[in-house]
Amino acid sequence: MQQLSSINKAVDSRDPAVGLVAVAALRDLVEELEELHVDNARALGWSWQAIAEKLGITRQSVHKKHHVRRGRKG
Amino acid sequence: MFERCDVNTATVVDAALEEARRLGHAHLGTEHLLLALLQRRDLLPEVAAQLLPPDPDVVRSALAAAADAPPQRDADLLRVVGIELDEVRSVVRATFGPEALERLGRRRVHQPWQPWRRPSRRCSSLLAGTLSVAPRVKQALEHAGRDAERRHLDAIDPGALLLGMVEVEDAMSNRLLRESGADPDQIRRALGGVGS
Repeated sequence: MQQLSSINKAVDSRDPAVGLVAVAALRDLVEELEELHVDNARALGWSWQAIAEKLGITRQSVHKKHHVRRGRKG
Repeated sequence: MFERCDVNTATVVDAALEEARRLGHAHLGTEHLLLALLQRRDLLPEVAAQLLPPDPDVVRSALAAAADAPPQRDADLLRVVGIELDEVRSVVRATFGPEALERLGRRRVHQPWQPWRRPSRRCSSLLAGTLSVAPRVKQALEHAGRDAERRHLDAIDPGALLLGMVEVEDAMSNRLLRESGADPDQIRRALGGVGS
């Protein structure tokens, strides 16, 4: 409950300095989760095409972002 | 990076990490090393220890005044948008195992040459909760390593660490020392630093 009230307080304040930094942190978190799940899919033998379809982006985008990060090991 | 530190210096670095976490900082900087050295001045040569500001709280408030804005913890930030970081962590741990979090903590952040994008501001992992090490700390350790060699030591002792820190001219620790009434140049001379 205490947690909920602190959320409300933060949202009520509507301070862009807080909200925007929070969104940036959320974006970083999403990036990390994406890495984990893409790595998992590749480990299970998924193709880049299949991963891209599930992520709802193009194969080229997934490939560009994750293939290089993974050291081009596939 | 810290592998050349001796046992005493490792104790100081641990205390500095603790200090950084307590302050909610996402990086380990020379300011945290300084605060740690102030608490463990017993590990320093007497001549240098007595040149340090006597009261760590003076340095702490200088640090608070120097920061542009109060640092925000990742977990608090994410709570603003309704995400509980600890819950995400435990889900990830349950799905992929604890070693997945460890891997994230060790990952090298890949930065392709994309000048139109802002450089990634984060060299650490939200999920792993790791701290990145400030470039000034790396420079200080390089100086400290050279000082240890000059004194024919096998490893970096706390004295060498402090000397390394004062030798990085624009380090945050030097600024804090000056603002707390201490003189980095005097410390450098006391520790036998070259070029003083």
